[in-house]
Amino acid sequence: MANWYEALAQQTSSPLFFIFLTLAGYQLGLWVYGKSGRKTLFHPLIWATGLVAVALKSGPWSYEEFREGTAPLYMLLGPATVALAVPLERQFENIRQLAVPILVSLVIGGVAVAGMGVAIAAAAGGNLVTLLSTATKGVTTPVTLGIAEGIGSNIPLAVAMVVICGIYGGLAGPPMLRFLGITEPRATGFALGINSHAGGVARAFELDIRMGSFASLAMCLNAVFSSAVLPWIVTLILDK
Amino acid sequence: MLSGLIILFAFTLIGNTISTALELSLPGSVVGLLALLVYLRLKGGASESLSLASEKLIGFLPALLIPPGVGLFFLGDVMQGQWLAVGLAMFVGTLLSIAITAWVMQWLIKREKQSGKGQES
Repeated sequence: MANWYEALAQQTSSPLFFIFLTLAGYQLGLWVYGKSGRKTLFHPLIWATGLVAVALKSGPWSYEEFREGTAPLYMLLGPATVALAVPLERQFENIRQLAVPILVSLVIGGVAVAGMGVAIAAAAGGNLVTLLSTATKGVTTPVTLGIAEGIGSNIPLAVAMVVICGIYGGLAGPPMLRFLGITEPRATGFALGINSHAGGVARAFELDIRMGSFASLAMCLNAVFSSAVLPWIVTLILDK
Repeated sequence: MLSGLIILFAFTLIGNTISTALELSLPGSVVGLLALLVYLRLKGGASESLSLASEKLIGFLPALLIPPGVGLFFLGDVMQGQWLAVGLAMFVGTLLSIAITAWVMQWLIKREKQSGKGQES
């Protein structure tokens, strides 16, 4: 007699199943988002992340199993990052005309995102590991992994902070900036790229192509800036 | 679209190779991005296939962030007594630094426009 239960149980530990779970969660998130009339609070990332977490907690799976299973998706993050060169190249002339604003905003924004985060965490009683894990919150995930290992962060915490700041900044940033009277899409995009990296870039491209290309430009520049400057500042402060 | 995907994968591999060989603190994907940018500047633009592939892959970015995002729900005791510090740094700090960055950028763009150098595109 055919053992359907066993055959099905075998499937639920394969990478294919975890990728299916992620994609199905995302599709469901997209559906909810569409139904809500594209309200920020119903962004597919929020719902998909929550749904997948609930599914994992209620099933026999561990998070480690899930991370290993979805490694192929994670690998696509590389080519997806490289792909950002295409819209960037299309905006190259606009970017070159604004070289000075871009460089000044990069230094001020790059320092602000790490500095404000660490200062607030310190004031709220964060310990050293928390502060170090906070310092990289403005840097895109693959770059964060590189820096975090070097400075002694808690890596899961650092990565979780990056992803949450990415999702949250991308969602909360644009309405807040509109409220503050910032109407320049290139300024909004640049701020999203510095502070919310991939999450901000994804959101900026949903809103406006120029916003998106300035967001991806800012994300790349901050990846370069932070991986050069952060480890150096941390050593300087901790050695004192 | 296939040849576009091949180019993206090739530049990712090139970036990873350069980053690993030279022991850069810059990750391979960012090196690959910069290399592809230089290549496209020299070549004078992206092919239709590459444009399509990059557009599709960028549209897919949010889905790729789900697995690390789920990690938040599995942090456990690392967070003992640290929730307030982490929460405030993320939810208040991020908004503050977004506002600072965007404000500085908008101010500089307006100044540039007034001095007649920048152009509305």
